[in-house]
Amino acid sequence: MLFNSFEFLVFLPVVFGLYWFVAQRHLKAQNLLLLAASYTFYGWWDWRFLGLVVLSTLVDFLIGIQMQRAEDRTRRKRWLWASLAVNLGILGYFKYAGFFVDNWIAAWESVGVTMHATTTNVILPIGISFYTFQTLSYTLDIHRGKIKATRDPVAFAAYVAFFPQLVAGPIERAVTFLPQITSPRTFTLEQGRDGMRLILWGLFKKVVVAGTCAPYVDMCMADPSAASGSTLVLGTFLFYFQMYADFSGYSDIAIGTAKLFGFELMTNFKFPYLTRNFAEFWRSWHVSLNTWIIDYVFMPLVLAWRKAGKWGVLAATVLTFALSGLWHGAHWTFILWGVLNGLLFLPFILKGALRRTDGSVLAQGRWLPAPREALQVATVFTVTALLGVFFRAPDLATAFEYALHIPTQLLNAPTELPGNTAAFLGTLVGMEYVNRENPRRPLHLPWLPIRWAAYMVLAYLIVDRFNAKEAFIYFQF
Amino acid sequence: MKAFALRLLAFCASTLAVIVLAAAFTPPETEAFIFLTRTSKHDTYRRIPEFREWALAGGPELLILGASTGQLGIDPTAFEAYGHSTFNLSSAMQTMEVSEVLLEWSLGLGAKPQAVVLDVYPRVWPQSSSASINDLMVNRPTPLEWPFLKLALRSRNLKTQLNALYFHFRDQLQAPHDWAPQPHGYHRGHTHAEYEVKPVKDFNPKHCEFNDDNLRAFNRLKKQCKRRGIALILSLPPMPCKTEYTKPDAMKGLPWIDGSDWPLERVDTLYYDDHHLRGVGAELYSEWLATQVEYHLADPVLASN
Repeated sequence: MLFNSFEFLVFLPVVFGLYWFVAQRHLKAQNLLLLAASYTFYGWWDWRFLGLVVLSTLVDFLIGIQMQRAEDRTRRKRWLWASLAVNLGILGYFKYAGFFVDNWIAAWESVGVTMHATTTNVILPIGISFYTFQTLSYTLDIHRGKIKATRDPVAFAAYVAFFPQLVAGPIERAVTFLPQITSPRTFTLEQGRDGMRLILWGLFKKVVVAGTCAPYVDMCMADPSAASGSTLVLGTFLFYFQMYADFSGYSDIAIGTAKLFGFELMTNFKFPYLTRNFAEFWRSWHVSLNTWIIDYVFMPLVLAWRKAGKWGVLAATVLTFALSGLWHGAHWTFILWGVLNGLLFLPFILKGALRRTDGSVLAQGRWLPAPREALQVATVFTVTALLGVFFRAPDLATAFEYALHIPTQLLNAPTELPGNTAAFLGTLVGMEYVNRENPRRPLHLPWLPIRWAAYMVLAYLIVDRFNAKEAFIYFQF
Repeated sequence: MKAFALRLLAFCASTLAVIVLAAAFTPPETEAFIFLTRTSKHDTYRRIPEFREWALAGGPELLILGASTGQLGIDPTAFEAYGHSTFNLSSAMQTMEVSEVLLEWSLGLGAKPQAVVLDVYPRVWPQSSSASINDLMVNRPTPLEWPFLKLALRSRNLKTQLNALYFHFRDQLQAPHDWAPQPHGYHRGHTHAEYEVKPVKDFNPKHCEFNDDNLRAFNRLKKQCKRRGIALILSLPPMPCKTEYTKPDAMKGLPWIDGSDWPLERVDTLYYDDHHLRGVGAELYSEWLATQVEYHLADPVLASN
């Protein structure tokens, strides 16, 4: 089921009503309802793949208990390896088997050896990368002693399958989510209001902004050599906003929906296009994935290679980013995108400034940024948008064709933007710039009539462009 | 929870009030920009109120439903020659979902047709109903009745639902829309022809399969006719060029009139384009169709159904 579908508009109030009015007195009943609702939500797409979610849940639930019981470290480690093998095995088969087999064959063919292999077209189950990482973090945290294994199978299954974030995150950690699901929830006006605002704002970003940017980006990508350099540059900027609006829109809806059920999910985006350096950018973009990768991939690699000094850190950074790219999809384009982003950290690592951050936001305490800050923001935005070509292109050849064609006719006027695109982008950036200090409270406008008028205009724009068939970009990951 | 529910309710009420105010005061130019443009193209504005009067009086005996091939190609006067009062409610891109709801609406008004002649144009079977539903929501000058509202809800399209609500209030709060006069005959085909009838290129019979929504609607329509003792006659329109399709299983066993049996089917001067008849073609085809329908109506097996 998609958030931007008519089915969800019916599903959400029904589950909300049952949750707060029928099952509100019993925590177990609420959790059971959440689990049933989550499985329905997922099964709406293809009920056969529910088996994978259930398998992943069962395996990690049982392994968690065994790890907790294990008295010595070696045995705990064995259970951890079992969890890694099952989860990464499922992920590897469904997501990467075709990629590795194809590349293996291509590698041998490049040296003149013809190989015959039967490859099947494996369907990628929606959300597999998200819930696999979520369950993995559970066993990894038990192994590290950060949390204790839960013995409540319904609560654990509801954590893994929690429908607001099941298919595209944020990737929640058991350490923050399990305490919420095992204790009684209350509903407050603020929670409900903030939740509804986040849902409305998220739908605006997805349906209106991302939907408006998409045709221009598709046009640029369809035949890069036919477009002028200026059009291609504009195409990369629009793709940046399309992807941001699409994915952060999904996260907003997920966080808002979770609020309606009394849960707090982690913030996944902190206005990445308003950041002043690449380190700050990566702390603002897809935060739940990046913190996961830092905790479970980057830090162990840095520790393992600490003897190599700065070069060890650089290698760990590039490898982590390459793996992050691979997480997004089994294509060389994603891997290259990851590696290039990793290389952007070279100056920080050499200066030893990787962890240095003052935690401030752009133009803190002022209306407008200083000229130096504005220049930094423009640089980070332009570079990350240009690298987005590798993220969006269907293959490396198209990506390079696109990138190499940018310098031609760069000073020509670009192809005109579709009507209203600039107005919608202006609304997005303007509204988020005003609220830049608090990413969890969009549409925080003064005076009720203005606020309600804004809600109505946004709702109208969403209804006007509501296309139930458009999936979110991050579903494919 | 109470405070949240009250606020939500207040917001919904305010939104409805804004829609009603918009319906009362929005000028036509702005209306077209925010909602949809009204059009007289499909005769809906004229045929819905007229049919309502017929239905309230218990008529007609024969009800014609289906897509534009039926709207432009079937002339009711040909059936009246056989003594059957006939009304053609076909419209452009009318899918099975829409035909089914129009039948339900007719029966709800009190119509007691002896038979429904359903024009089945294969290329409409896989289509979404949104264009036809929007036509009914926007160009229907009567208040929104339950079957139409159900159709809007079933469309799963929020914009269609908003339009349904807006135009419902608009016709009650503002002066009637100024409908443009019809450029062609009321129940006839186009009075002019394109210069050449273009053959259908790259035609894939797969494109002529029912989608799930239309298949379900067709089965409901079939059941409705059976329950009410209405003869359901399917009529495949004539086409000047070859059209491949596979007759859906759901249609098997029902009276079937094949337009390719019409002796004049391949006379391309009778057509406006590759599937619509001109006025003269509609007149000739309808005369032939009426004899076929008459033949089926005389069939005692069909009559006993």
